[in-house]
Amino acid sequence: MPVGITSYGAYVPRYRIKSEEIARVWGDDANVGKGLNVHEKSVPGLDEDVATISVEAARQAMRRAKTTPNDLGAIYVGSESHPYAVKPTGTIVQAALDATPFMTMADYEFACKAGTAAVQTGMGLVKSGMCKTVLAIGADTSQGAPRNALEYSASAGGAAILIGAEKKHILAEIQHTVSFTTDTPDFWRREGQKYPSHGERFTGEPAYFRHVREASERLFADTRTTAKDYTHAVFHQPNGKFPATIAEKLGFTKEQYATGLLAPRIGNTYSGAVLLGLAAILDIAEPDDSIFMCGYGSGAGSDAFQLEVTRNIEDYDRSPREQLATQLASTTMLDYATYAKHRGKIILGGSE
Amino acid sequence: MSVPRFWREIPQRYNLQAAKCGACEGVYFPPREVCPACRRASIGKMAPMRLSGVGTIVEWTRVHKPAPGYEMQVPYTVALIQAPEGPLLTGQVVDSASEAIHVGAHVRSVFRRVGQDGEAGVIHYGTKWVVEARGAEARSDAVPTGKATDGKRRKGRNKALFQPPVRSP
Ligand SMILES: [Zn+2]
Repeated sequence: MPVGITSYGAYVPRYRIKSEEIARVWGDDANVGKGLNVHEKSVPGLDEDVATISVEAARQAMRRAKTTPNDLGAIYVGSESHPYAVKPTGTIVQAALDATPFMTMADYEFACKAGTAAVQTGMGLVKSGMCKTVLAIGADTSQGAPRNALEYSASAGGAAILIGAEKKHILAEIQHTVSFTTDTPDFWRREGQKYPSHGERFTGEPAYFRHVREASERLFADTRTTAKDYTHAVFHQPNGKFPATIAEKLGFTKEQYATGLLAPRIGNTYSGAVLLGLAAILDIAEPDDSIFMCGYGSGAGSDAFQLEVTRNIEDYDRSPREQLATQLASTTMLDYATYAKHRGKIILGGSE
Repeated sequence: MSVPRFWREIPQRYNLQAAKCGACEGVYFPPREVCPACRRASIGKMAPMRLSGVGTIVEWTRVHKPAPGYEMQVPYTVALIQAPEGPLLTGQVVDSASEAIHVGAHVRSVFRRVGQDGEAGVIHYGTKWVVEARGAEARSDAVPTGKATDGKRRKGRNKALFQPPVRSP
């Protein structure tokens, strides 16, 4: 039985801050953004969080779906910035979709790969026949401590992927998935801490690159494919530099990974990142296109996927108003002071 | 707001669930159990109905003296919105350039945080509105022109306006 993506939705808040503006405030080299290949990043509105981003993405996915919210058997929201420490974000999504209460649910957390873990769970539930459809969401409104290197990239956004097994609804069949997971302390946040900590240079080779490479090469071996066999490739993007480096090491060309590489314009949306890149690819993909996707989450693990686009994509609503590119074209640029207000870095005192 | 009250109002806050009178077809938001026009004739005939989530601004004001919990959002915009189904709604207009906010502007609903019971309390989610960008009219086809008036901003309604949701006429 095939399993695949039957609908999808994407949401990125409209606010942006430029890397140069962050560098100006902290006296950093104005070219720091160029080095990371992150020129600007998305910033959530004052009233936006992982629940609101998840709902917007989920509503778009359900609006375009051929199945209804009452066909959902599960909702999994993956994030490292859930609004509640205890109370699932998925419950808010379920209510906002007015979906059936007869479903299973849990929130997921695995740094930046909680969204792809949700997709894999959905695949299993659908393929086993336990659920007709499953909604898998990856969304974050991540923070970097002020003046920390992470401040240049930590951003906000999310995507919702509807998984189903009905052949007439599948837009992209998920043909294979492989994961690679180890205990690697490259990035973490302890309970009650506002900002995460990271292992400085340790985040590159032993963490991101090793895990993405291991999962990707195993997927190539399992499926007897090489980079040349794919139309598009998308990787987790903690910045704009890492995914380009690993893509080229694996044999992909810029033409293959350019469409899904959003970090230069929106930064690192964490759990949303690789799924937003996938949404950008699906927005322009054609039948029979093959897609390589590999997520990464600190801690650490990688989930790699092989997908193939079907002819159903031709009947799916991908008009400009539904496209991620249209959303990303409409932005409001913030200065650092307004950004600090948006991110709760300003503490109000005194009385009115 | 108490947790039980917020919980009861989730369908109207998240999904603009209104009530339609089976006798006179009047639509009420927030939903009512009895139609104020038909009274006893409406008993048992009030059916839940979801508003489409689009509308037109009929009045708006920019708030500089915030309601409790909105201190960080100052200045913000609150508007009276004509829904095509009939009810007039009150809501906050967000993510929209000030020059885009005017009487007659088409808006669509978005899902946002509307408040919280302090840092440790429950978070209230609900509906806010954004002005539809030009070229994105497709989603607001259903919206009639509304009661666009002189386009002037009216004063002195902040308090009355900022008690979402407002009753339909
Ligand atoms: Zn009536």
